Amino acid sequence: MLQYILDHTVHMGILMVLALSLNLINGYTGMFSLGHHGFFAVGAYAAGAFLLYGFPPHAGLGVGILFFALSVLVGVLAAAAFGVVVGVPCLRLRGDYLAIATLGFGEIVRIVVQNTEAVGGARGMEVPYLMITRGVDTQLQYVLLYFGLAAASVVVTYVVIRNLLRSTHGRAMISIREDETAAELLGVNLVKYKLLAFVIGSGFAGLGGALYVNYMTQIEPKEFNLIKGIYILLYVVLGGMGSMSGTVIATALLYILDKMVLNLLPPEIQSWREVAFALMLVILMIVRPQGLLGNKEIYETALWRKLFGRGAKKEEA
Amino acid sequence: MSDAILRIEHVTKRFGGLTAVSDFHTDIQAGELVGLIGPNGAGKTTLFNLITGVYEPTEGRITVNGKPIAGMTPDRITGLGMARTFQNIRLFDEMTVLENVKTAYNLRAGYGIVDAIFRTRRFKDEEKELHGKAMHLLQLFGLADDASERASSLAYGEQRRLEIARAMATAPNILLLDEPAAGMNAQETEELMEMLLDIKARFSLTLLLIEHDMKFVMRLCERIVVLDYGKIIAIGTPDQIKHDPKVIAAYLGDEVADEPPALPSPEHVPAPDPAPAEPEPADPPAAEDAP
Repeated sequence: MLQYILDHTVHMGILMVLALSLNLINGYTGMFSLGHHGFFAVGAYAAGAFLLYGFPPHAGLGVGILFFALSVLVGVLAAAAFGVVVGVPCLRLRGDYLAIATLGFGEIVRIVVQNTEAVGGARGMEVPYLMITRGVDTQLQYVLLYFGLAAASVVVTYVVIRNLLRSTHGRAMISIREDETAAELLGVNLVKYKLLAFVIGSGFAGLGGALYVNYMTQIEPKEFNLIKGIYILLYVVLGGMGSMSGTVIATALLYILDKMVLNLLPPEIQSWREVAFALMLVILMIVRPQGLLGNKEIYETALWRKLFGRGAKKEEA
Repeated sequence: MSDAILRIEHVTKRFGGLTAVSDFHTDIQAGELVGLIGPNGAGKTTLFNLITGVYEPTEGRITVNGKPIAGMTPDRITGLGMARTFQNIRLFDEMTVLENVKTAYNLRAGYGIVDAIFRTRRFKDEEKELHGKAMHLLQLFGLADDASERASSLAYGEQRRLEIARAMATAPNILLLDEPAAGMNAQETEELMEMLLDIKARFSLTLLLIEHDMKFVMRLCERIVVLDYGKIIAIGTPDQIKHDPKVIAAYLGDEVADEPPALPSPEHVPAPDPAPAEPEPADPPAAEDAP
């Protein structure tokens, strides 16, 4: 049971990394990207390919740790590089056009991977275990290790993006969401900050991907489909565009609802899962279009203040 | 004439078959306070958009602080010392009053992204300094008490002031104001006038403003440029403009009064209305959707 919960928490953590980084692009900078699963795939496949071709067989723990770190680095850099490549032409587009262009990118990545035999093609890719082999007797340690790594990734993603947002660079990004023309006339370099938000967001999607391939050791192109991208977007929208704590909470809630609660239901009802999901979102968008927390953080809400009697002091500088 | 801070040389802007600004030519000297008036659709806001780089002129040349701005993006022109406000208020509504002002310091911020992520000493020092500067500006504009309010929650007159405060944060020496008194009542207009004169002296600014409130323009400006159908029809002191027959025919109307009859009296304008009192149908839509 513990293993079951931890395993799901690892998946949830990876999704949180993805949703938090998408929120930087969609929620804070106001660019509507639908291709986050594409960057996730790039990160996963780049890290996976690096391990597949670079990792020496029968290496010890030290080498394993080194290769894990390197594979994460490769995943992040590859996804960020793709962020630049996609970003430069696409960020001139606004609104719907950007959404369609990024959506196209996500599909291109999946189809290219599917047709590239070097990374397994449609069969998928299998990469070596690095630090611990997932076996019957090491199952718990394995899951625990990745639970720690996923938690650390979420914290790093959260802190880095939060610190960035609380600086002049973050204010520039938010001002682009608020009023692009006014921002530019106040000296905000639009190309620089849009690209920056896009590349940093993509880089963290790559982190999620690298962690995912290391944990799963087996990945298939069809996992990185549009539905994945839409789920990530749902977490962001549900939590509130422009709320980091909202994103984390929404990811947890939706994931638990989707994977844990619905799995307990009898199979004949389970086939209605997607319908229930969609219906719930329709209702949410009617009742609370700004998402759970809007663009507030949880410690800025009235409920939090009532419960904990602080949070009124806003952190400055 | 060589020390002109803003030089606009034979600038023409055409949108398809429409000539919005035609052969506009004038120099603005450092420290001047120039008014730009004319009927709706005369091309005043288009001229602002040309000066700030939102549009490229079809013909002609614009020089800001001695540098030609051809091909520059608006943020770079802002970096040359040019700032502006907007006819329809364009604040960052979801940000606080203080953050609105802080955003405009981006141009001058010295710390990088890595400093921000790791919250280095440099980041903290600069943010502290920036906080002080922003608060000081808000104090000047009487907005310090509202620093942590959302910009959208401010009253209309305060929003107009915040726009000016925000523009001032870019440390300009030329400030363009697009109808700063629109929608303000007589008392607010009076206060605005004093405030503009104060910041002009304090920051040695050059001011160029578009305004329909003739009393305001005539009292404040040293020189007035009158536009009609994109062309300059008169340039001169308020007195000269008041008595210029071409201006009277095109804009002021037959009565040579301080208050032209075409204007609504300020009392009739609801204060919290975020929409501009007098939309210029030909100009503002073009601001975003440039052809």
